[in-house]
Amino acid sequence: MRSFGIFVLACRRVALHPLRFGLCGLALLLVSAVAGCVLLFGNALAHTADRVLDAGPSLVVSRVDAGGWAPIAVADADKLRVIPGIARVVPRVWGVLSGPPSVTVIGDPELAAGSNKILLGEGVPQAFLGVPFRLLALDGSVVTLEVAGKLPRSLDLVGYDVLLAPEDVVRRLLLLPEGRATDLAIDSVRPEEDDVLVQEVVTSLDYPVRVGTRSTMRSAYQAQLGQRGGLAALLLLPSLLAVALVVGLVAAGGPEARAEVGKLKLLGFTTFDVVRLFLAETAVVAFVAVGLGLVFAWAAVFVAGGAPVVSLLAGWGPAAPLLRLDGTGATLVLAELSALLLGPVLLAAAVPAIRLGQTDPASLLEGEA
Amino acid sequence: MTGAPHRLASLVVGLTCAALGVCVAHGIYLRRASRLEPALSFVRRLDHADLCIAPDDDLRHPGWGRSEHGKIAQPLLVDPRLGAHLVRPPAVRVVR
Repeated sequence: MRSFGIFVLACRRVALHPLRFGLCGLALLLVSAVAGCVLLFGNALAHTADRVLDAGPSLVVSRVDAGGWAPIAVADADKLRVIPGIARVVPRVWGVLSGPPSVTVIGDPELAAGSNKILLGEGVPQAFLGVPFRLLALDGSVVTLEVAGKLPRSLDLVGYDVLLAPEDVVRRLLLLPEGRATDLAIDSVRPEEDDVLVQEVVTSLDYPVRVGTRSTMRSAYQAQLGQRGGLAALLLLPSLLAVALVVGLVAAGGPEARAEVGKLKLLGFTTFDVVRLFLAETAVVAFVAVGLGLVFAWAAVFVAGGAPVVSLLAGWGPAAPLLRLDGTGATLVLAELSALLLGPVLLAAAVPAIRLGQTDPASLLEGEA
Repeated sequence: MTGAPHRLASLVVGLTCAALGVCVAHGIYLRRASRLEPALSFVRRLDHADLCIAPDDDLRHPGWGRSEHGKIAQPLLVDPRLGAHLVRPPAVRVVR
């Protein structure tokens, strides 16, 4: 029988059993949407993190003492600038103020010193343009600031919960004296020399320091993403097996399907035609369900700014940041996921079809008589 | 009547193909367009490469994360707001 004829007949059989195939398709749609969200988000976040880390400093030097982290002398940056292989050393003035509201405070060299004007990320609560914004400094004093503007949503990825203020304001908030910085950010000339530079930096300073590199940061991200991805895979695998089982049962169709196959074989259908028919009806439903699920996942991750997925996976609640994520490799993830979902499902549909197709028509029709 | 199911199915399959095609086209657009450029410029300007999404992005304060969203922080690490001395900002030496 011609392929088009098989397709028409398969569509008719699907239309005759809307509940059975509808529920089957719904299960596939949900599994593919959830799996798509998790895998697309993980992939996009990994690529995005790589690009952000590449744009950031190569090394971050923090002074440590027995009590934890200590401020580092700005003048010590000069000791590091003379090390061959280091292109730039920038003392950073920043920290985190616990709430309410809790914010990451960063000293912005471009904001005029002596001014109380600040810029805020969208995620900082209780902040409105033109309304005085009060923050508790670490010594308990109240610092009143003026919200000059909000950071655009395109910066949510790195600036969602950030407060940008003139450096003198940040020093006042964090009790950081003049001549001291939170840490030193270093740009190396060649990224492959970063690990060697760590030793140079440690020996150049006469107090204990902790040096973070891009690769350690990248490892931290990968470990975290791997953890999330592993958990998602743990959930995905049983769900996929369960859906394949359901599809297999639906495709088998019970005694009614046996009689139908018996009649089809009497009408001249070959085993191959029967298998094609069963595969076609499952394929139509599975393709539409998986396709729509993946389209939903794509829209959630890349069109809706990742907010639904961030809320779901990271527990941010309704006020999740809008993330502009890197789409590198996303199409490949779609293709892999389609194969991962459709493969077992079509296999589950093919097995009962082959069994039925190979059975003698007379025995298939025995129940009918 | 006999043709209706397959015409409907063809339409649905066609629309699904079109939607997937839009996704692929959008993926190509995402690769070409510099959607990340504003964020990367921000990172370059401030020398801060912390993602708001990750709890342990700040190596200076492991586990600190974004404190106001403490529930995404790693559970095994101490939350600084609970009084752990390690994660106080550097200048804190206040004795009340």
